[in-house]
Amino acid sequence: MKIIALLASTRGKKTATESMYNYLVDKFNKDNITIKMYRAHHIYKDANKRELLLNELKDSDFLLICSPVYVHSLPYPLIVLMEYLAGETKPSFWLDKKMMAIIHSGYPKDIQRKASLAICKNFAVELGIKWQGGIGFGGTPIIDGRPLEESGGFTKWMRKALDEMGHSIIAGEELSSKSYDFAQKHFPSIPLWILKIMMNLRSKSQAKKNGVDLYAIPYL
Amino acid sequence: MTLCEKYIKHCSGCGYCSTEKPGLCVIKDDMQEIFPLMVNFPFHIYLSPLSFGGYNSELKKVVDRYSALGLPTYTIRNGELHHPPRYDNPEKFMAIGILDKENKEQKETFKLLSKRSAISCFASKASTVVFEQNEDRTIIKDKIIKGFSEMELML
Repeated sequence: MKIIALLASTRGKKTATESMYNYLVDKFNKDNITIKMYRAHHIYKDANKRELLLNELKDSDFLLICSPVYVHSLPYPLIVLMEYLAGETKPSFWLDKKMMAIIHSGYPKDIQRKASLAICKNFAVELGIKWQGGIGFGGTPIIDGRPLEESGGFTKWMRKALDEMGHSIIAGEELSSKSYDFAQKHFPSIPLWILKIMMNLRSKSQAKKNGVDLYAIPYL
Repeated sequence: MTLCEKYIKHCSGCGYCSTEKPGLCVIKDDMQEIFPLMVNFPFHIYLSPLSFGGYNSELKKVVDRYSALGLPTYTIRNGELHHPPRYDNPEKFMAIGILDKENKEQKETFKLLSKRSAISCFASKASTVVFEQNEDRTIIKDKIIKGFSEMELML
C-alpha cells in the first residue's frame, strides 16, 4: 500500500502536525506500508514539485491530509494544492483511491474545526476520492512539536484515536467509531473560563518579558 | 480590491504578530497596504468562487494573515474561546460565494465558514450569500440585496 501524506503547517518541522504524522508513520512502517510525505508550503509554488506530487499520487492508494486550522479553514498552501489537483485530474485518476484527514487547532470546541473537515470531505467527493473520514483535535499547541508520547496524559486519547485511524487505513476501512470516540475524549473538560485565565496569563507574561504592548494598534 | 493583482505571501505562522511585536505582521508585501484598510472600514465583504465549500486560495491567502488583527489573549463568545479583535472594525460582515453548479454540501460548508468568520472578527451583523455562476442575473441581484437587508445579529 502506498500512502501520500500532505502536511499543511507552514511553521516548519517542530509542529503538532509533524508530531501526529510521525506517530502514524511508525505504525505504517511496521506494516510495510510505503509512505511519502510532502509539506504543502514547500511545494505549492514550484511547478516541478507539484507535478512530482501528481505523479506520486498516480501510483498511490491513499491520500492523508494532516493540517492545522488557520482562521477556521485549511491553510492557503494546502488550498492551492487542492485546487491544482482538481484542475489537473479527472475522476478516473482517483479510481479506488481513498482519503482521510487529521485536523487540529488550539481551540477546544469541535465546531472550530468543523469547516476544515467539511472542506476535506468536499474535496474528496468533488474529485471522486473515496472519503474514509476525518478527526479533529483541540489544544494541540501544548504538543509543541514533541513526539506525542512525550506529551504524556494529554495525548493519551489522541494516540488511541490515531492508533485506530492507522488500523482503519491498513484494513482499507472507513474510520472506525472507536477513533471518533477517542478523539471526543481527547480534550479534558476544563471549564473555558479557567482555560481563558491560564492562556491569558501566558500571553501577558510573554509580552511583559518582551517589553511590548499587547494591545498595540499599529495599522490604525 | 482584486486580490490576484496584489503581491501577497502566505502566512508563515511565525507568531511575530502575537507577542514579539503585537499586531504587526513581519512580512513586507501588499498586506501592509491592506491591513490599514481592513481596520478603518466598518463593512467587510468577501467575494470568492468556492473551493470545495471554502474561500478560494486568493482570498484564503489574505484571511490567513488576519492573526495580526486579533489580540493574542482569549475571551469567551457564544460559549467558545476566541481571540478578541484588536480593532473596532468590521461592524458588519458579508461573505458572497460563487458555485460552479448546485452543490448542497459545499453551500452548507460555506455558510458555516462565513458564520465562523463573522464570529471570529466580532462583527455585530453578518450575512452569507451563495449563488451559482449560471443563475439568472435577477435572482443573483435579489439574493445580494436580501443579504444586505436581512443581516443576522451576531452578538
